[in-house]
Amino acid sequence: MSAPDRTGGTRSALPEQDDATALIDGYLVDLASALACQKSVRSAIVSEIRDGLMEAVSDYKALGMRNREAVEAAIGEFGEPTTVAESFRPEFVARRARSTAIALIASGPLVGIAWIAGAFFTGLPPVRDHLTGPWLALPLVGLAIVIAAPSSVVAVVTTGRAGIRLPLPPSLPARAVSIARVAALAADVTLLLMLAFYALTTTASRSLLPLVPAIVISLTRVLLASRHPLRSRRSGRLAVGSG
Amino acid sequence: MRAEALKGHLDALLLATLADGPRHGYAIKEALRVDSGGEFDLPTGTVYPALHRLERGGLIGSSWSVVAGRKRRSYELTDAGRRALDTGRADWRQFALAVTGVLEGRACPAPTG
Repeated sequence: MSAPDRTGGTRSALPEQDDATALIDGYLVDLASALACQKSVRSAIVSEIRDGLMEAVSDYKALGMRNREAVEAAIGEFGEPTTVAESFRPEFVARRARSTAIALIASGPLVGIAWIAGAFFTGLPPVRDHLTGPWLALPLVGLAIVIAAPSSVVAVVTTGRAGIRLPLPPSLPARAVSIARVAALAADVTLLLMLAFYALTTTASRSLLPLVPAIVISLTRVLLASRHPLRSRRSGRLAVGSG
Repeated sequence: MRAEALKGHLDALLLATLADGPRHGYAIKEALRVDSGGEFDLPTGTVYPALHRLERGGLIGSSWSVVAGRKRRSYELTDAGRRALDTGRADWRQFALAVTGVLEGRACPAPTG
């Protein structure tokens, strides 16, 4: 196994120990830059790989290699940092799908209660009368909830123990949570648009203040749900010297 | 041996390396290599993500400690992981018997219990 030469020749004058340390730090910086995940997860993975590298170095030194040789052999054994980082991607996708689905399931009842309570205390037409005007779109919200709730549950279940035991398609959790995100987004946007149309067109003088919590919660969900789940973090920086 | 050849068995193998107690990621990788007589020299990109997946599934747990001035993450079996390992061992014995029966031309004995 041969390790890639990361010194570029400029570090040849450094003492061997510093040179070997620089090799490992360089490897871990490259790894950290290639890991597309949250900072805390990235830091944990880099610490874990650092420990593994150091263990491998110890093993190679026990076989009689010099420090620099041992570091190069360990880096060669672990493989290219971009390859290692890429191998974690399915795990990142699954964890993100799980946390997103849990957030949708947890926030769903909150959104529902906020809107129902707001509509009740405001005395909006859906509470007082039959559906007219913009409120005719209300069944769309129900349809979105019927789609979002089971999709979220599927994402949670398939990213848990069932996902390991059952021969499920690896892409299922990400697809399920994507459907759930779009459906939840559609529900929130529909609610906000209905209210906006009503506020712009109504002649009744009615305070919409009781709906402020619902508006804030829905806007927050819209902003969060419209974010891309896994952004590349090429600029990710990490203090690799901290062990 | 290529990692693809272990598809379907990797989880049980990883769980088995933890049967005797906690180990860190590199020690698990080395245990797989040594216990298999060098056959299962798996890439880092196979072992570490698989450990994270098993932890997400609740089959193993992890804890951090500091060893020689650096952070170390050690894994250990959960109760669910021990049950999964028992199931994996039983499934493997039955599978191996069946394959041997076909390849060697000997009837596969009916599973007991």
